[in-house]
Amino acid sequence: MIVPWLRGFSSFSQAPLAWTLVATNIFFYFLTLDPSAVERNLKGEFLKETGFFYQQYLSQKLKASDTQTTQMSKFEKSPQELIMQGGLALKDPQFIATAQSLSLFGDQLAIKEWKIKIQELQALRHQRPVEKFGFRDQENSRLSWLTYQFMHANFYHLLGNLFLLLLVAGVLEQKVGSLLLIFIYLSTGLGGALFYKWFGHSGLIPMVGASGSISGLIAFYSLLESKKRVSFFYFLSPVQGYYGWIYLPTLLILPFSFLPDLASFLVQDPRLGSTLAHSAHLGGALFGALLALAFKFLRGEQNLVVPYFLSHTEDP
Amino acid sequence: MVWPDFQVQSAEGKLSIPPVSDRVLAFLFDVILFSPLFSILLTPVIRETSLRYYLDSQSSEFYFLVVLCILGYFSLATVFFTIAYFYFQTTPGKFFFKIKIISSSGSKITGMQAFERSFFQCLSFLTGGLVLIPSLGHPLRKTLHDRISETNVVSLKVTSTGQPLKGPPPLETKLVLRATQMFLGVLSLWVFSMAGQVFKSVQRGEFKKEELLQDRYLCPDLNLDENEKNISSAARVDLGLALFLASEIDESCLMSEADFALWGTDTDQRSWGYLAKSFYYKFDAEKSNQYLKQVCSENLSSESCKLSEKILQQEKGASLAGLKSMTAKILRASQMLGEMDLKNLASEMMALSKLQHFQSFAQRILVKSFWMDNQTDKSWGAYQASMPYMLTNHRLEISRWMCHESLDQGCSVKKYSACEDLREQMKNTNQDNPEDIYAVIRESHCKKTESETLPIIYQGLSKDRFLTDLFNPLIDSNRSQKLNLLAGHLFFGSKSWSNLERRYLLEYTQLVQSEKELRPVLDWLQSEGPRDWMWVKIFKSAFSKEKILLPKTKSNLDVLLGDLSSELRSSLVGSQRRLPAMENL
Repeated sequence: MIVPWLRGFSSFSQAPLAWTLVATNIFFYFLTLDPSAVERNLKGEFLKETGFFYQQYLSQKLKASDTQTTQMSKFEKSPQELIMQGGLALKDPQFIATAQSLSLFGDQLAIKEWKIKIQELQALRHQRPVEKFGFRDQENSRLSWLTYQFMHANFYHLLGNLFLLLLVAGVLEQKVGSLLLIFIYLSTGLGGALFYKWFGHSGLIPMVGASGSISGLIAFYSLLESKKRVSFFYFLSPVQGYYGWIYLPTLLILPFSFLPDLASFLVQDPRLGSTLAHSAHLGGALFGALLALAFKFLRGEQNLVVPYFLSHTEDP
Repeated sequence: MVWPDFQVQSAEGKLSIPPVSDRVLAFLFDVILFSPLFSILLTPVIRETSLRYYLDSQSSEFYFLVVLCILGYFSLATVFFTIAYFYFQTTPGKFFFKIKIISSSGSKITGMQAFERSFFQCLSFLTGGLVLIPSLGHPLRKTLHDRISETNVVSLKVTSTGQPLKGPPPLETKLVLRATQMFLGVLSLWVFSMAGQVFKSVQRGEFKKEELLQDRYLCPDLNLDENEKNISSAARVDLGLALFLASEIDESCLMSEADFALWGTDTDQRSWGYLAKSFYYKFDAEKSNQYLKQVCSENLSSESCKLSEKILQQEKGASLAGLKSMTAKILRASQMLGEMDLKNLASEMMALSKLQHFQSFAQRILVKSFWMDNQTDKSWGAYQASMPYMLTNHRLEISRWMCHESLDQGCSVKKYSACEDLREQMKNTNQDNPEDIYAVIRESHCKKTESETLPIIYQGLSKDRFLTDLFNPLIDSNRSQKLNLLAGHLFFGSKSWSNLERRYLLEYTQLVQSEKELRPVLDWLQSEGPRDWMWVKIFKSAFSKEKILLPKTKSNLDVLLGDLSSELRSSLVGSQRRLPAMENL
């Protein structure tokens, strides 16, 4: 485990806005918790069936393009694989759009019920908070460009994002002030949404999460402090020497955080859905990097992107 | 600067050995930084692999692409490490941890050494890093690839006084090595035992794809022997359905078989799946009918399609003769019972009893059919001969049936043996079937010796509040109290009656003493319920009561008799024969 620790967590008096952002995210999470029928339906047998039908859909799609495919029994994949596949299927707008007209093999009565359920889900989705406030690649309300930045899919999603938000926003607020921090948070979130609109696809499930904004904050901080080093915490085992801190150039955070996103984004087959909004991460990071360069330029700095080991600047 | 010197200054004596943790972390850094880049370079292969995974993760194309991916990563990593070692004697990860690769002689490594080191390092990781573990015990922490390429790994880290580090902490050598050895020891034992098990499984032929799938999803209660394991998937569902109709397997078992068939690729198997589901949903008439109508959508010439058509036409008297499936045989047995064709039924059951799966079923039907055919001695003989070989639940079922039937004939002492068997079964099992408790209550009323029956009755009643409320008042009450209690438990007007309710109704009919009390029974008999075994008995009881209570008026049941089939009418009026229906199987 290797985690960029930066300068650690800041106190409320040092970073009031960072803490306020954390509180706002928590507030929005509980406000938009949705134990509705839709959430209950998006699991178990329904997801397994969806995963199996998605497989058939892909097979038919490839047959149309002269690729050889074979029919498979539903039981040749484990339930976990089918559930994962089902989650992916619900993210594929083309699959959802053609679901009613698909010719599927299997229990035809169960297939009929599944199609009705998909129809119901599509009808129900406008009643869900996540539909009102989450972000889609198509048909968005203006409000959702902002609100999606404060929503989360589940508790672990929230926890992971808030951990990073506190680390980065806390140290950044002390560097650039509260006003600029909220500007970066919101504008990089908008940048993430813009990239998602261009390159992402949401199917039945809209995008939510502060990840785009947090990516922007990380990129902003990495370029702002490019001439310095930050601490990374590593842990391999509790034996002495196998855990501790290592100081590395701040700029290293960029490839560390965004290369996996870039690779996942490029490697992702456009014929398949995706459960992670890599494009939003990349959009947020790009906007954050551009804002950092603009900020440094306006501050009158000469070398905008100089890594630590070429700059020789002493650590604070 | 982080990196003080790229040149090799000295041999091993002056440079320290880096801790293993630094080397692991340096490697992790390299993986985090470079694996995404390698993935980008391998984009077309990875895309195709992921697509193939979703389409068919068991296909040879998928496995081929996985191997291609591994080879791609392997080649790119080898090239990357070779270049990094040769030109910089380090990698970005090692750079940050101040680790450097030098030749064992102390000089800069050659191109060949760089390649050998990279190649065998990548090969080591293909083994899951297991071959790297022995390096923890080496004084210079030399790994396999270090030894092959004759290179050393050194640390350029210095202490605050500018001295080289003392090398890896002593704790690392002792603790990590011992822990690793222990782990490897346990792992080897586990691998050894698993290998043995896998080898045995291979010898048994358990690694055929179909069998793996079947073991995971299909119902084990089918108990197929070695020869039967090769039957077609359609025949398997047929057997499952036949066993379900014979009460040899439960609903969940039938559901697994039907589901496996329906979501498979074989059309014949799917037809059987639809048929199986139509029986699974027998209490939901609409759904059951929908599944039945779906059977022929897959294969018009299949046996299952023909069978479903016959079932749909059964009201018109369609015969199941000529169909060879096991399900058809069981349904035909039911039809024979319905048509009172008891002689043919007995010979069919004799043939069926030779099949291991249907032995118990055939014996139970034989006992019942002999009884219905008024061959009570034969029935008792078959009952006593088959009891020792039956499963517990089947023993319970047949002894319950025989106990109730013998009590229906009166309180004659020699007829209690089935009830005694039932009591014995009840002691051994923990089931609370209300019909069992009711049978024991009836036996107790007949024998008037409560010492042996009451403990069992109260043991059964104490388990369930519902049963206590149901039976407690019946144990000791006079006629009118009993009549009121029975009437209270019967919901006249309801079409579906459980076996217990029918038995209640029979007792109620035997107790009625006025036209008013008899009226609901007459109405019930004329309603559209299944005219099965119990219906016939209630009919006979009501018929005799009607003759006594309403001698001068035109009998309602006479009118009803006019509507019944001639076979049924003759069996009702002329003999002890009764009309059974499939539910009675």
